[in-house]
Amino acid sequence: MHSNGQFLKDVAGFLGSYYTGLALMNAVAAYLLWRRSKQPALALAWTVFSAAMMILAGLALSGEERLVPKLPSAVTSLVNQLSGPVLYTLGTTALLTVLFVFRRFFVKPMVAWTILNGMLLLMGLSMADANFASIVMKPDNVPIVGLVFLLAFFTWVATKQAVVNDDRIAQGLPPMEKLDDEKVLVWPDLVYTELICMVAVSAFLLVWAIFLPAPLEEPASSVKTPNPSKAPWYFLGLQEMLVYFDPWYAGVVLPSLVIFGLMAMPYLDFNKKGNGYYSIAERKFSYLTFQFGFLELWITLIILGTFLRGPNWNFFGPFEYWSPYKVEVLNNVDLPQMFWVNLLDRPLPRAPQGSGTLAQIGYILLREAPGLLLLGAYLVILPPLLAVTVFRGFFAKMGFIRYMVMSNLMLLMLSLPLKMILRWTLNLKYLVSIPEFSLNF
Amino acid sequence: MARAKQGAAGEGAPGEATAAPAAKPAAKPAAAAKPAAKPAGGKTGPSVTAKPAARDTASILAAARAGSKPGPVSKADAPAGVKAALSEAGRQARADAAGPRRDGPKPEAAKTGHEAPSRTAALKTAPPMPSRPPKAAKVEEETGRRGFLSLAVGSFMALGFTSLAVTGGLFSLGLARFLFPNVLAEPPSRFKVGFKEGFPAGKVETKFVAQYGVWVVNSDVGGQQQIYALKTVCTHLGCTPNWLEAEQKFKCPCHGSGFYKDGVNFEGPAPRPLERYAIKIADDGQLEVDKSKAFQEELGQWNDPSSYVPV
Repeated sequence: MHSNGQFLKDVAGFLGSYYTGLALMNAVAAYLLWRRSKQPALALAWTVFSAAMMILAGLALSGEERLVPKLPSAVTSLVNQLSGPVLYTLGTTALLTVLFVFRRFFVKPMVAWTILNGMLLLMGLSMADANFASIVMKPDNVPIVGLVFLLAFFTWVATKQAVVNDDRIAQGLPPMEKLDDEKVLVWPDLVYTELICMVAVSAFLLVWAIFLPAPLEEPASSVKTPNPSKAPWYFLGLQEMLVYFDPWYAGVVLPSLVIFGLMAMPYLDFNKKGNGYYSIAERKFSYLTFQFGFLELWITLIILGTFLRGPNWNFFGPFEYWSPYKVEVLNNVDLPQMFWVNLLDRPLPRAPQGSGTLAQIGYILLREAPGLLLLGAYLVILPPLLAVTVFRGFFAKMGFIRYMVMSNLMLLMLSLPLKMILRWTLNLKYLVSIPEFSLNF
Repeated sequence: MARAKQGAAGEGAPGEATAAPAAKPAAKPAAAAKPAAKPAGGKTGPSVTAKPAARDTASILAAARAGSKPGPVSKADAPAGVKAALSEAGRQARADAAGPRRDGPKPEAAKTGHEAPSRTAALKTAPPMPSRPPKAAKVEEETGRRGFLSLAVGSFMALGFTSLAVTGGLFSLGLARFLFPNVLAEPPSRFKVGFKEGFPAGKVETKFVAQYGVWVVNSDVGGQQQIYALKTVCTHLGCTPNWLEAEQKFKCPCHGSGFYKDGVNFEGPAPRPLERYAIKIADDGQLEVDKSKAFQEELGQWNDPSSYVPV
């Protein structure tokens, strides 16, 4: 880590142009508000904000330690202390829940614009922190920063459409998409659009590749693993799952189940509404299940894996230095160990020396009985229980087989967050642990 | 020769099925086929860009219909009754179309001779005429100028394909050769790491990791001081963990698995302890590690006396 003063001089140019861009963006917004929307009060507010950004740009360009705008160190150290996998997961879940519940408020353009500016400003202020900048501005990680903003934008657009449609449907009007039902031709309308997009994206990627070259590392060696060793960004969710599960489950079974579940969707979905237009109210269950699986179990895990997992796959706060010597005290215990040794105060059931294969398997099954029973209850007893309670309507509409497929897919999806919670609260490593046959769950 | 064969292959099958493909080449040279085809396909919207495709589809459809009942399609369905004549119509049309580009008499001359004149005749009069005996002069000509040309072209082709095949074969042999390298880059599976005295108690020797993938450890295991060789492969997904001296543990950078000095897993997702390699004292008194044998704790193999050297 080089000295902070030198670092600020290095990033001064970038931060200056960043704040200038922010100021220009808001100046244009203010102009449009004034001329097009005839809202002079709002236009004035955003002009003031734009001017403030210009001032910040000037301060950032100075590169002086006492002038560059940044978060107070009290805030950064507090964030570092508070952040951890538990708080991160609970926090993102809470945030997404709030966004969903109050979606009517958040889809208002002015609210969304304010939040966007707040996020960008916060990012600019954080970028003056050397540790934060070293992670966020790494060429590998820039696309994921873009992904966060793009994803937020597209989710916002879809939610806005859905809210508008839900209101219209409640009033007995057709959804927006049905009003503009004109068909266009694939050739030339679509193909030309695609061609233009292709050219634009190629040009953009070319410029990007020139200005942010891919990192060149030392030759690969089978006995030297980079620390931290990270998967490609789109697989970081999987890598995070691997922390909690055995490789065959997190690396093979769960991803296959994701694909299988997505393929099964048209056969499981009995809801005929919401076809060809955005709607949340008409398909609440499907919407929530999908968004939970996508945003919570995939995207937030990618963000966690990219920005907050450092050397030795330890968790690091956003403003924390990635020290390879950080010590995290962990001692994970398997369920049989907990049950037999800690609870019953007996040694683990173990086949006597020289016993046959069948006897050994019997002892293994006895040892793993608590975990196997728990799993069995989870996957076999829980679906019928749900069918007569929460999912009664679903069971009636879907029939036995479709309902069982749906409920088991859902329970397996939920096994990830449940296992994470068990790891954090009980330090549980595996429910079923049969290393003799490489079977762990 | 090759050209005639190609033509026969192209026309034979469609001619047998229906008159449909026969109409296609017929429509190509004669613009008269276009207006004939258009009314048949009148229902499909004739836009400017879609015109060539529509004409084709329409004419094909019309020609297909002509198989059951004759309609206004093209000249292809004029001798509709005779199957052979139908296929001939297409062939003749193609020959006509190719006419201006290539030399005139070639299509007929290139054919096997005695059938060609009768087929052109079949187009004009429906019943096929008995074939004429082949002319002696034409046969002579075939072995003459044209025969030479086809032989030359054929032999050039043959030469080309033969050399291609030979090159391809040699290339694949050369590729296969790469599967059997002269030098094996792997270090030997048995190697000496030095004398016992070089491994003081409590020490994890990491200098053999880069070359052999082995930690040599002198540690207390179950009340007995042992020297053993641990395989540097994490039992979770196969990354190479790092030995952290300050924390006295092996820590994997990929998913955070941690192992005690004796190789037993205690944190992270690794499901079982690190594996040991066979180790013994060689004849010259040095410690010798044998990587061809591995010992797994969960299978009770660490009790095997060849998995450690007592100190």
